[in-house]
Amino acid sequence: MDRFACLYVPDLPLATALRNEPELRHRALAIVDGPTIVAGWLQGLTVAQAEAVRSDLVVRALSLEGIHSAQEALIDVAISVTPRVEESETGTIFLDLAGTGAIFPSERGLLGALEKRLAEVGLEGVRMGIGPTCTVAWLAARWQHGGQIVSSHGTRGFLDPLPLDLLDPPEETFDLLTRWGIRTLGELRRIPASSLGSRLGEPTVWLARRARGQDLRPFQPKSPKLRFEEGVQIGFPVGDLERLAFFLRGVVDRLTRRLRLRGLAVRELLLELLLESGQNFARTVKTGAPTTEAPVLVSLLRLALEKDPPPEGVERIRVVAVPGGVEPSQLDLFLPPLPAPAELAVAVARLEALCGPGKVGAPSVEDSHRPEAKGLNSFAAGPRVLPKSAAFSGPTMALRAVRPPEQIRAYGAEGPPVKIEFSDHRRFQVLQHAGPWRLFGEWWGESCFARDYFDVELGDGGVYRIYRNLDNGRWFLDGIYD
Amino acid sequence: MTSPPYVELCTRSAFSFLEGASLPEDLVERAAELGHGTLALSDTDGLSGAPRFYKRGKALGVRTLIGARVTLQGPGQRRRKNDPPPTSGSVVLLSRDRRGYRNLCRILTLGHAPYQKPWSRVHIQDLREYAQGLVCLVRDPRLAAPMREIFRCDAFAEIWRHADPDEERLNRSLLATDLPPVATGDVRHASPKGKRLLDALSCLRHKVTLASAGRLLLPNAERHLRSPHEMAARFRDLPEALHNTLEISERCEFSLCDLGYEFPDFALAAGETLPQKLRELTELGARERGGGRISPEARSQIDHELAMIRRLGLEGYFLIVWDIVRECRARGILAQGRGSAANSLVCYALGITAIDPIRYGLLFERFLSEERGEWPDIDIDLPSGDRREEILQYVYRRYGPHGAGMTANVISYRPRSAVREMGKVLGLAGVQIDRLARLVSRHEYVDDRDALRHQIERGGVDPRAPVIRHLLRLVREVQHLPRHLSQHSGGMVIAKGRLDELVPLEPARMPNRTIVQWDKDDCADMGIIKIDLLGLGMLAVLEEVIPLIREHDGVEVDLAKLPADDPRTYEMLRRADTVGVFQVESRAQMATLPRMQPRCFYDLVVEVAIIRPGPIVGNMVQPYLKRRAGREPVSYAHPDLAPILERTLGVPIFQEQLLRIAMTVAGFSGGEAEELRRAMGFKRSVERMRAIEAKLLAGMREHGIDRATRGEIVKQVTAFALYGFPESHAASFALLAYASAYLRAHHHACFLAAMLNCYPLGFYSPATLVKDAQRHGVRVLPICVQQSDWPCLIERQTDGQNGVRLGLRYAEGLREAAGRRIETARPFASTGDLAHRADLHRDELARLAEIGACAKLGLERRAALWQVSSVQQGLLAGAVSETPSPLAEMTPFEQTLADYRGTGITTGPHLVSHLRPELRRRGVRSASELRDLPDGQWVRTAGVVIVRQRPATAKGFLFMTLEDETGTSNSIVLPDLFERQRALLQTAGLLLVEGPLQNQEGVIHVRVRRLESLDHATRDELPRSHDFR
Repeated sequence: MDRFACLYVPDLPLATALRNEPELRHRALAIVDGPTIVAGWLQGLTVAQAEAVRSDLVVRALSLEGIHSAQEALIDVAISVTPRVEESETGTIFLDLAGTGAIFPSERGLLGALEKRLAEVGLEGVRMGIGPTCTVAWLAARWQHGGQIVSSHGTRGFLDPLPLDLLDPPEETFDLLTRWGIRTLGELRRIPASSLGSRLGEPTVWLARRARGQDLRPFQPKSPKLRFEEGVQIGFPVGDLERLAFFLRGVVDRLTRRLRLRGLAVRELLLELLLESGQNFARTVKTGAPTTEAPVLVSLLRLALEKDPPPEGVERIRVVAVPGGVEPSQLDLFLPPLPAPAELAVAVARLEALCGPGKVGAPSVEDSHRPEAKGLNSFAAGPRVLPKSAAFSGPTMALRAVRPPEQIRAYGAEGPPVKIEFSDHRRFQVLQHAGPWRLFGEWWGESCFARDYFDVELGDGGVYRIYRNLDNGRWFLDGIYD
Repeated sequence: MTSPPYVELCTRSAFSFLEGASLPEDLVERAAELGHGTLALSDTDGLSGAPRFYKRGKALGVRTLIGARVTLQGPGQRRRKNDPPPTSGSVVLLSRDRRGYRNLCRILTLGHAPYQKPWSRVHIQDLREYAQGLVCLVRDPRLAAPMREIFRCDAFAEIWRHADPDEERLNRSLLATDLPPVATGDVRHASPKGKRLLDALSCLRHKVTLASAGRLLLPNAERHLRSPHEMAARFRDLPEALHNTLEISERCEFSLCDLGYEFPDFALAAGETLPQKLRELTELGARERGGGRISPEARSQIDHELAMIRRLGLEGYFLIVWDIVRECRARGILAQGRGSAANSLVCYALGITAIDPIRYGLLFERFLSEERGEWPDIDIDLPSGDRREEILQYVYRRYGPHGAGMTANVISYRPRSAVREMGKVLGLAGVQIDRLARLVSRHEYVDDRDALRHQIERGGVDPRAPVIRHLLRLVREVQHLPRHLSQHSGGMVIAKGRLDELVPLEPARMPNRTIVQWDKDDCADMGIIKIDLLGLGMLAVLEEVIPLIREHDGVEVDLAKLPADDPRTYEMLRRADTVGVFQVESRAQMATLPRMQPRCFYDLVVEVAIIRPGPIVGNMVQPYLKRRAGREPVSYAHPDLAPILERTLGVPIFQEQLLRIAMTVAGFSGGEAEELRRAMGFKRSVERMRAIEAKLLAGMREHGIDRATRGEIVKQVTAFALYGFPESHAASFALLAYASAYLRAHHHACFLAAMLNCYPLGFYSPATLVKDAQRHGVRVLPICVQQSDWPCLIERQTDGQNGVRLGLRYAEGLREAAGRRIETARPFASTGDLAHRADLHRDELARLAEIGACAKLGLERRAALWQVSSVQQGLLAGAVSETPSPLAEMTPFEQTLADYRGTGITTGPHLVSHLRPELRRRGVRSASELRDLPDGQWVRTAGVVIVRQRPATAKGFLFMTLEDETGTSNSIVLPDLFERQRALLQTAGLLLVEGPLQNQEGVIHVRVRRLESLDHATRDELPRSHDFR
């Protein structure tokens, strides 16, 4: 007789956060994705709005890696009981219990063991159910607080009184069935399937089958995971990056060969270093485009380590490759040749290592009256449509912006200054000025600005743009005319 | 004193709709503060703000110039219907003289004509044709040459200086044209702090948030009014530009006081004069009304009124109104004048009104006097719906498409809409905006705790959070700013010749209608005559019910000849059994009727007038009722007031009494008394009130009235600031109240059918009307595809009784065309036959099945639902599966819920009757049982909430009406309980309330101490309660 179990995590993002920080269990916890709360307290609000309502709110970012890890942990627990595990949607796992009777004499005992192991991996509040099919097990896990064990002959008795919405039907179908007076799985079950299909379409037939506890497809146990991991035990601590790169080369080379056999490439590398103190040092490096070129991958790893070197000598290296398909790139006949994506990724990584994170990218003009407003987008090579040039109307002056604006001193009463002193203490008379040009904006946020700008010709012959910050009276050099 | 060196010629007020952040009055006030002697208004594509602008300027001694910024049509077509039409820019046009003003109105009318709101595009050809008398200011250099060609020496280049280098570049281009320069401020807000609101309005205009608006917003806050000297300093290098502001100001001599409005001529036969015609018709009508003769008293009054009308030159006005009413009669449309017109015997004789003013001692001067200095105000009530539209179109046809127009209605921001709009602009999430908006009170009563800040704080939102602070500020600033213009429901203005030369016209959404850009107050201020042709639901009911009674009850009803003082009718009124009765069905009226005990028509007139804010706040209701019941002696503040107040037992209730009091004890003339009334009108000013009060007190002192009495009289008089009814108005309404009560008492089934067919109207939902009728023994039959027409019908039953068959119009979601097809195609053999021949959609079929409309096809509801869900369409249209239904049939409770969901009405048991066994176990009494319980007993009762009301005069009390299967009961919730249970009280559909019973003089209330929601069904299933402002 078939027996299946279901492990169901009602709110995986929240469970993930609590797995990492169990002490937050009794706090008002919100999980955010971008500006919006997606799980936990006050879903739908932004953080600022939620904090206005609840000042003791604890906020954690949505961690996809954490969710993935939690899911993996869930699978690990399931696999510890039986190798036949099917991963359904995120947060839901099915186990085929065939053969587990030898280890767990009772199903209640099995649930108890699962609960204990889940706690060991930091997952609490997971609901469980057992039944003759995955569907029954799933319903048993989701009904009330879970923990139901449904026997084969007790299936109908268990299912019939369950509310229809436990099957997560589409809203329109649910509404219609409610109007038909169908509120429980038992009532739905009593409708002939053919009649349902002809009236409400095939999806309702599937719904009715699930109401009977039937699975819509066979159990599909998860295949052993394809894990591309290579490592090397160095045996002695290596602190020198050049020597470390030597070892990395070998590891990466083995990885890329395995991947090439499978027609796969590296999308991402997970570098794990065991330091001499026993601590782990891990870094993730993205490749920009999947590649199997070992030298490129080694360069990326090196650059990552140069940017953020390990604090101690390294005794063991492990590299895990996250695979992706190789993407062929199509050259355009009419555009100049573009750099190879992997090489480009290396170049950008090198620049980021030099300049710091968040300081390398494609500049974009922000739509704002604030002159220094700028945006930075990810740099992507590709054909770009350039704006049509305006007709040439003769030579014009260009303004070389001083960024950030440099504080200066200006002398004079209210109104345009009569003398300017730069930060290097050079002082010049103002021979002529134009302005003030006034800017005031973004009063609703933190970057509110109120300034008076002047174009001034100074005694050194130069023409400059300066401004006074009207909030605090300070003067700044904004640019130099060229 | 030297004149200011500069005149501001370019301002945009909030009537530029999202382009200006200050009201026109605020601009004028600020200009006066800054020392401007003259100011121009140039709103975008309209003159909506011009009357207020002019009026405020007149009050403050600022000369006002009238103009507009006109958007020009551009080349090309719109890609999509909702895209703005292309434009080639805009110019400012200022009126030099009356010709110029008229041309400006024509230009704006032509600009609006092709579009629904909010666009206007003026063709350059129209500028050419109507350029005379206008000065043109040009900001776009590309328009310099064409405007020069059209306006010649009246075209100028507009130079701006807002501390913006891009502007300076444009200024140089303009100075290089051959147009003389003129300096302007392009003012958008009165003071610098208006920039924030202007930014928010700009975001609304572009449908973006502040964070994403970028350079759509102006770069600085420089577009505010500045003093002439400041502007002179700013433009000191362009003396010609400054000088030209003075030059243009001198050229623009036109003032709105010189509008040149003329009332239309009334068409007379050869040899006739207006006075003759009016007298002839008046005497003819007076004889008809007087049973063939005119009494000496009536003759004297007619002469007096006609003489006044003659002196004021208003014969044409009366004849035009007579003509409209005559047209109504000719078409069989009920029409009745309301308001102060009922004070006029001439109006009564002409058939405009239905109240004999001599019989009721009504004061003519309340309607017309030499001191009023304005047109009289005649409002005509017509049946709401298509019949009223017939008359509106008659007026349009008679006076020409450019001779008549509907007045506008200025829709301004209210707290909830302001919170929503400003929340969007600040980028708040939709969920948060909904929550904040729901926290804002909808009720009329507002105390300190209701201030927006407090409301938000009580809702758990921190008002100190930066974004909330900005929200509160913006909401406060935007309130009362105009949001858009809509059409007034009934106000029409007519003019001799072209109305579109006096005020711009815009097309209305309804076909064949135009709207003037001014609201009725603006029209009144500008001396433009207005006639209100209002739709009154009860008139539509009366029009509908008369033929039903004729056909089904065999009785010919003549409203003018109903039996007066019908005992059954008054007995019903005394019991407050008045659901559906015009004017006396509200909760407050029902609470007063048992104490009032009306026995004659005048009692009804008082009843209609007494439940108004004026008498309530003036503490006149209780004294009157006590005196009526003999529990208090009738007394007068002064013996001279006895003749005025004796018919209301010494208590002033009507506005006319107020006027007579002022005339009697303070020596006011009739016109001065009318001025007193206007000073206390809805939009009163504090200064005017004080002046009038001082005059009143002085007059009373002169007449030897003692101090205490003076105080009491002033208190009574000032209570009418909150609007008491004129006696004539109350009498007109009492006629309709009596007619509706009589018909309800004697022909309830027909009355119900007519009410349901004319809905929406009245105080109660159709569900309540039906249940009330059923309690009176009227049989109400459910919707049936084999029997129901689109409207409700009277159906003779087998026992000879008339029942009301609910119409298909009450089937939610059923198209009228489909309903009409059902009417014509039946009888039906099956659901398939119904689907096929009536061509119904599947959801319409499902709805009909669910509400039991297929019962006469031999199907229970779920069986019908089962069958219709198998109906084939297309080639197999009409085919249905005959498999028996496996669905369980609806329980009675489910049927009731399905009725509410599908029709809003149930003809079966009331919802609460299904809960009665459980309620009994909990000791809950029905509404009818409360009547027999003693005053003060602790009771529980429950019901569907059908009315919630928190009037401004009630100091925070909430009044509710609950309905169960036995009737209705009233509850009072004290302010502190309301505060604690606000959310529940505002949202629960089914409530159980508990507290001491108040049962005095036939008026029953539960003073609620505890309450509990009984929302077994979702709120969406129940009919909506009537929640009052």
